Amino acid sequence: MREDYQRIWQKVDKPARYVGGEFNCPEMTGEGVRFCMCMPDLYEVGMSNLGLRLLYHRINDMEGAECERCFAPALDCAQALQEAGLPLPSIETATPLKDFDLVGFSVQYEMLYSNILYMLDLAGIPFRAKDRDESYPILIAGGPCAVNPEPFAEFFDIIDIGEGEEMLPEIVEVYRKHKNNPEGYDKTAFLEEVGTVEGVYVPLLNTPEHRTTVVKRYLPTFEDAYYPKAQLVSNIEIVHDRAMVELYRGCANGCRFCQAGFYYRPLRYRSAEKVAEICKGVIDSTGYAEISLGSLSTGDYPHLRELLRALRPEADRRHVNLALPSLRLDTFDGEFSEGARKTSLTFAPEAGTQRLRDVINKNITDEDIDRSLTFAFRQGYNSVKLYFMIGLPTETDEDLMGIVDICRRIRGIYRAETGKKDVTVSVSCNVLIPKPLTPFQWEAQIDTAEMLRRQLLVKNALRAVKGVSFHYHDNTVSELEGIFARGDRRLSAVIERAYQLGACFDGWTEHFKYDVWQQALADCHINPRDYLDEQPTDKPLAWEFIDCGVTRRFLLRERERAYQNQTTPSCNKACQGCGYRCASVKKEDNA
Amino acid sequence: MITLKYCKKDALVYTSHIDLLRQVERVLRRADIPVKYSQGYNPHMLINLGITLPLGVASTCEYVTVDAECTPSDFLERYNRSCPTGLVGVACWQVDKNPNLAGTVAAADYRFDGDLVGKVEAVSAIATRTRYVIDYPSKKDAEATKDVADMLFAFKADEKGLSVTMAAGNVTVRPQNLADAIAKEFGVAFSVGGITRTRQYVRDAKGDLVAVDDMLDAVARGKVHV
Repeated sequence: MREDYQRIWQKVDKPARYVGGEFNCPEMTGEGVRFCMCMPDLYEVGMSNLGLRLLYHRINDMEGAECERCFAPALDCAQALQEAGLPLPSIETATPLKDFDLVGFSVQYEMLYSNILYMLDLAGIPFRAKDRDESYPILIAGGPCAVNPEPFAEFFDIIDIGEGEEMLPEIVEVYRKHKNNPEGYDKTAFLEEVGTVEGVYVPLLNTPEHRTTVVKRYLPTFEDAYYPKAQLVSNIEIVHDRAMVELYRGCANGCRFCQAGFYYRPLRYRSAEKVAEICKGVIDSTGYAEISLGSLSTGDYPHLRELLRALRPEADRRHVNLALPSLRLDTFDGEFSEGARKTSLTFAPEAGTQRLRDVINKNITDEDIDRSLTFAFRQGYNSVKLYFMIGLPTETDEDLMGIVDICRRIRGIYRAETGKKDVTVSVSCNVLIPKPLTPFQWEAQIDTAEMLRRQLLVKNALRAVKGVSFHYHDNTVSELEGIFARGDRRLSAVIERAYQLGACFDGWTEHFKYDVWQQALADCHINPRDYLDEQPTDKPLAWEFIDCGVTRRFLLRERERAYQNQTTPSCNKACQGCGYRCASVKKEDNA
Repeated sequence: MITLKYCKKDALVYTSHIDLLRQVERVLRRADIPVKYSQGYNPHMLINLGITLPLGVASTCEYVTVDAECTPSDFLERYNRSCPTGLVGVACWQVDKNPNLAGTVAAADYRFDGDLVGKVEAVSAIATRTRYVIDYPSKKDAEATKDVADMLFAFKADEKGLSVTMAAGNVTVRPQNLADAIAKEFGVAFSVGGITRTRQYVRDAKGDLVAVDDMLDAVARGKVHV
């Protein structure tokens, strides 16, 4: 078998994507429960995902279980495999996917749904859970899209809601018990038992007609959360070619558009000591030139100073760059950027006026922006990247013009601070996609024509400001993202139809085929506006059988406050009563 | 300054030259070898890789020169503790200056594994040709050809494959193209992934080929072997 696949790798583009052999790759024996971890995107993208890495090594650290990997092959490779009549194999041992016990998919983004089917098709695995008997592996999905798994629910036997570090090993153990059952392995019996594991959703048994609540799984504390002693170091450049270490999970800010901010609650910190220890281990075990200290809002990490003090000497000696992504405007200060190369700064004011920032609860003022940038320019920065959203609830043209005002002001501040005019400002405007589990989950998504009008309005107004470039997201992609973000089970058929019609790699602009999706929606008699229009608050939304910890009452209250231009303070200041009872935990951590 | 001779094999045969540089840097960082860095805005490790190796070809004789203050034995030991098995080190020399192998290597030995039973004599005759035009497709010109007769310095066939000394470095013959041409003309079945570079040469003052190992032995202050 190996030789057959080797012949394929010899003739495809970037064979390193398929052959493995990375440093720190565990030895495989083919014994015990065999898990294959998949990401429906290219190797370079999949390998850049921290969650996938964590769970891959987590399973490999278990006794009697092994985890391999498989990513979506590029089109040339898929074609070569099909021509040779070879099924999609795992990276580590070139075992066909269908020979594994469990196959897990990390689902990161709505536009990857068609690629799940692309991989199953190449693997020779039937798409629908109900069509797979005991001879096929159990298919598991997890990742951020599990916040609303309904559009892809019919493809999977199990969907993991929440954090997988504990849940996945428990699933493996339940599977082992059933696989070793002397009376034979029975898929239904396995699904019934695995459905009792906290966080596990079994779509075949838990249907819209017969609902039971699924409670999101999360680690009670984050301090000792799993981190691999030695992680994979890929042999080719990947998208995020660096180590990632999380500072904390959850977010205290409660920005009303942000799904991650609500889904990843409660707030759980890791101590500076622990993070430093992990980072030092990472330098020794990977040799990466950069460690990204990640979280949803790095500047809000209460131990950041202490951490940088502890880590800088060793990082400097070994020439390792410490990257601090997701710094909020209000926390940016010189100490954090010290020693960093003065290139480009990225900030996300999200909205152009104070009023609209209050609506979305982005607790940043014009003064914060001015103060941070004054400081940054003094430090030597001369390039600023700004992220905004358009299509926010209550947004007017005046709010959009606020974006232009901010750009003008930035040029003014730069000139006042440096006496020069050579600042470049890059403005990026994405369309708000109302996401499940946010206070905006009931809001309408603006339609394509209105999107275009607002984008052009900003674009044209920005022409008058020198040194500003404007970027915006493809309208048609946003529309589909919106449909799938708030979709229900009827959409499984749409995904399948779109795949049949040729959709795959939809997340890649050059492969995205809008007309195919239009056709698929029409063929399945789906009206997109059902998902894009304002949703009624008097009946449950498709995903509300999942108890994510944040209550519906809290989200409705936040929505009401948004309409009244009222902000809600960070939950570091006072508990806002979102539904988690984490106030006591937080106080202790922040002490 | 240290010149390391290492293998490039297994999965690493699919790692490109630019990615290889990154891998070597990571090995050196993991090993905590005291490598010197360039000065300036964007400091980088002072590393000089040798000539490129085509993707998919294995090697037992790649070279990299690293500006590091340590003994060859210390270097080799630390390097091998931290490298992927596909990049294992085999020898180390202490040199006073960068031997610039990327610029001076002129030839290399390649071994092509394959089934030549019954075809040894016919294939061996290639060595006597004064003109040997093979397909040499490039991105720009899929139909391109190249006369490689003058670039094949030694050519020996046996029943299990071919051993060829040919141009490498700035003037080079792509081994895969040679294998494809021979496979096409004689119906030889070469093994998948069966091409290995086994020795590199520079030219001495008289223009004769000298193995890089011998050249390094002559200039080095110290040497260790695995």
